Amino acid sequence: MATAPAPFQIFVEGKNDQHALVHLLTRNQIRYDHPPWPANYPKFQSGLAEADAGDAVSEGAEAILRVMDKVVKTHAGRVVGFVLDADDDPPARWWSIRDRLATVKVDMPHVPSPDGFIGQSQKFKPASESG
Amino acid sequence: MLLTLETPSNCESPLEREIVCAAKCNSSSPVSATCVSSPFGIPAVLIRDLTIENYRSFEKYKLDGLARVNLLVGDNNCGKTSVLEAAYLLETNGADDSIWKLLQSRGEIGFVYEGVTQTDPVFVVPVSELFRGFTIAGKRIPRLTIKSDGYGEVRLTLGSKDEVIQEIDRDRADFGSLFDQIAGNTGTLRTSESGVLYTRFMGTDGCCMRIQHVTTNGGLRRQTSGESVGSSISTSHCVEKPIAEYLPIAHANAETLKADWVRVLQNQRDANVIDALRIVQPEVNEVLVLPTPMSPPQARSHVLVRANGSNYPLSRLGEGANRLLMLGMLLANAAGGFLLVDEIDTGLHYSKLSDMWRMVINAATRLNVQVFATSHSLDCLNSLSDCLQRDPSLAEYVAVHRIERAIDEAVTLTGSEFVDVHALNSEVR
Repeated sequence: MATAPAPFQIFVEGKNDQHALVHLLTRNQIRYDHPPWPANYPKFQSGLAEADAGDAVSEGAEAILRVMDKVVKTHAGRVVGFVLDADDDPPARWWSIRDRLATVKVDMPHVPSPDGFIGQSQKFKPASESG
Repeated sequence: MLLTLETPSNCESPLEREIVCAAKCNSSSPVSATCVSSPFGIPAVLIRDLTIENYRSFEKYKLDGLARVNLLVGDNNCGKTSVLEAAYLLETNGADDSIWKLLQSRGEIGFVYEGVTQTDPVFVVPVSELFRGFTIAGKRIPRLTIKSDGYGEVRLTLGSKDEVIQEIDRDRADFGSLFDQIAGNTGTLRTSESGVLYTRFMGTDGCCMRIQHVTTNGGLRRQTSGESVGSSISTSHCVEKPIAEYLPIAHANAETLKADWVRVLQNQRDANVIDALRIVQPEVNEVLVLPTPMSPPQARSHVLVRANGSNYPLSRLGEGANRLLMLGMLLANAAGGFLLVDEIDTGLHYSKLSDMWRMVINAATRLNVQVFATSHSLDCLNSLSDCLQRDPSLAEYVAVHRIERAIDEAVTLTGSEFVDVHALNSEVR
């Protein structure tokens, strides 16, 4: 049985990615190293229930890719993050994400920006922000 | 095709109904209601979409992708129950008794005493609660619309009639079920510009009880001359609608329970009820409902279950058994129609919920019942996911709809999409 999800979530492929991201955030003064964390901190959610190893890493990415459009839909008005590796073929990974999020009206640029990308669904967003 | 319900020529109905194109099976009508055949010969209609306009707090809201079994989830006060009610009104053509039932289930029907001796009961029926943007000034005529592209449309409009007297057969109007008798009777719910409708029980007069609806205006009660309601709103020319059953959180009264049980027996579907009760008490092999007309309205002592050769009052099995009894009965009685359940997990331990879902989905598909249920419980979602993972073939009959007020339509996940999203512990509620 799943436990109660946090209101803000970051989806990562597996536990190794989560640890890497925690260290990165901690180095930037966002203290994820000593729980309990503040309630407004997002909760990490692994694409895999088990520790990642071998092919399981790619399975974690596939699990996230499979649901990310639905997750965006069910998070209307709430922040959600996805962290996906792009070691082998970055353009292919970028376009696979772009295609999926286009179905929920998230308009991503054709090429990734070095500054990262933060977007918003033009359909699944608070009514007060509707155009 | 526009079908407008007839009203008696001498009755200017303030609460007007228009039904546009009701659903019809076995018809050459261009209306594309989805008719489903059943191995048990039960015809059924599936509502695939629902649009709500000006109902309660919704200005306009839409649901698509409705399935055989639909779970509505979302935050407190997001409108889950309102969506459920809107579906019920559509499925019942906005009938008086369905409006009464919805107001009653929310505790919105008041009851006060008045008169010189303060003994005349007066029921307060705030019909205006259903209409979004209702204004006392009355410069706009509030109207609500509930429609489904493949099914039909119901419009309710508030008017400004001041007062009316209904006559109700005394033999039907025993006090214990007076609410139902009034609502199910001939008349139209009437209201003034204030939108508040009072129903005064005036006692017996010959063979009839006289029910006087008195309205207020601007908070001051104003009594004017009455007018008899000659006959009921005629629905004879309308296409027959499937049955729609509504299960609120509150208990049904004893009379309603007995009537539901009689219908179960008449249709020989008591096995469905026993299946439901076995979720909490696997040894149950029979249900007995005794004729005890003097029971208090909420009594359950007259409902017995037989298990291991002995009879026990249902009340001994706890609240969950009561809930499952009602769920099993209404599923059976809604064959070919609709069942709407508010807070479907009420009274049930989380460990029983997966079995509850399996029972509901199997019964709904077997009896061709379209189910709409609400919940905000994580246990309820966990158990639905567990049920669908145990038997993936059931996923095609299920949809989960997140009622999100931030946007003007529900976010819908198919059964298999829901399982995938829930597996990642993503917040769906």
